[in-house]
Amino acid sequence: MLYAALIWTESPTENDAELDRYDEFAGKARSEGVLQGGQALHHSELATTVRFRDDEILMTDGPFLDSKEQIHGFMLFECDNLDQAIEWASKIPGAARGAIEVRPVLTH
Amino acid sequence: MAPANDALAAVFRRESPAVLASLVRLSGDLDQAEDALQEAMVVAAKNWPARGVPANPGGWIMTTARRRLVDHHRRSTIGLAKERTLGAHAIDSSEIVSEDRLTLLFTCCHPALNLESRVSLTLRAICGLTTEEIAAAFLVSTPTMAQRIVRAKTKIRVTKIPYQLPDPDHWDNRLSAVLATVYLTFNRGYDLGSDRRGVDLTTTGIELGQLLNLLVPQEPEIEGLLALMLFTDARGRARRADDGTVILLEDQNRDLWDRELIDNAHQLVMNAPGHGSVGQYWLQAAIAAEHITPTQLSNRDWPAIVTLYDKLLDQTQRSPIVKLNRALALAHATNPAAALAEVDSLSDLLFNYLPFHSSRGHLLNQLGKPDAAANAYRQAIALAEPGPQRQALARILNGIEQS
Repeated sequence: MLYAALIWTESPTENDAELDRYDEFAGKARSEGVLQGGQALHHSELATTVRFRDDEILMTDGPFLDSKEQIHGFMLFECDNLDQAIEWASKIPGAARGAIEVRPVLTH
Repeated sequence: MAPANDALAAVFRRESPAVLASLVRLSGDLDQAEDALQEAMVVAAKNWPARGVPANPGGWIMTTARRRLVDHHRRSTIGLAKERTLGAHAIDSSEIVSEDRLTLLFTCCHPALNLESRVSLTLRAICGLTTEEIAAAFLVSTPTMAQRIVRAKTKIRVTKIPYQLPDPDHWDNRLSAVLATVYLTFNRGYDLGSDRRGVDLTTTGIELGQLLNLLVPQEPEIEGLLALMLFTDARGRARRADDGTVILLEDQNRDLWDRELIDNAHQLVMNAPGHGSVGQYWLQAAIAAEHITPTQLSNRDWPAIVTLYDKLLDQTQRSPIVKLNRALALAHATNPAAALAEVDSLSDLLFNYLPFHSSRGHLLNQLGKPDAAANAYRQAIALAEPGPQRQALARILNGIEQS
């Protein structure tokens, strides 16, 4: 079963120590067949929120939600069950300073 | 002899939770297990009145429900592999295994579910209460409660919360989610008091505690929580006056206390520390024991109570409410002035908490400061709901003003 781990933090990963931890984590998760994909994102200040209404593109400058924590990355995990997905999510470096939202991926 | 409907309902209620848990192990799905159980009970209701209740009613329901599960899987093509599992191990897998109930309890109380959902699902799947009964106890409509249960079951199914016992690494964390669920059930029953609608959740909470204690013997926090609930329940009849006013421990008629429950609870409190490290439930039970087990109230060991509160503070992220209770014990162990200083230091955190003001009033009055005491009681009264409690506070205030 595929799970998305949405990484909510106050800012993107900038310091080298944390980047190293991400590399290490991704390497381990990939080698165990868990990590199926994922990306880090630029700061939410650079986000553009887009809507389509009445044949018109509407946009606002900034993230969809005005909250202290924003999504600054995501990962896709292949796991047997939620307990395993939670276990992996807890080891994402961002979990130590922000929060990880674990959501099952809808498959047809 | 044909069993009456009530007798059948009683047999179903007693047997079905254990059967359900074992059916969940076989099918891996709570909804399918519930459907199979339901169908088996319909068959039983048809057959038993004529033939009599079988010697092992649970086993009978289990066998019948298991056949329904197999039939169900046979009808769905994707279930073929599952059918083989169900058939191949027919002999052992059709048994009702008590560990299944523990597994299902841990799933229903998974921390990925919110506390409300955990309680509702546990009452439904582990205790066998109906949605109507659970809705009535939580003062919500039946459709609202049904929705809450469906949402919880959907989350288990879609996100794949597994039906398995937690790893040793996660045992403490997962157990505390189960214990919180049990304690909330008990407290809900206690809060309803005489206003109980249908089911008595205090009894349900205690039964859950006893079930846990049976399935996971010698686990100190389970023993602690069970003792805490028994100590509280033992004083149930003495706790309220006829008008509904809460009677403080000091003023309770001890003849109304249930000695047998107190002895059981005390035994649990005494034995638990020998089984491992204790936590917040055991500490609360041990504090209750210090208040309840001395033959006379004047024999209470206040320094020991303060020490227990110190340990409880460490277990509860230094909860201000625990600090307040500790301060009240300190008033006895040392003097009211020391206690008042402790209570006053909590004013920022507990200004909207009624017992903060009534405790201050009590201490100030003891210290011979009636004007300040009266003010504190006025603030307590301002926070009280209209009813017996507010009247009781008003009587105290009146007494201070008269003196």
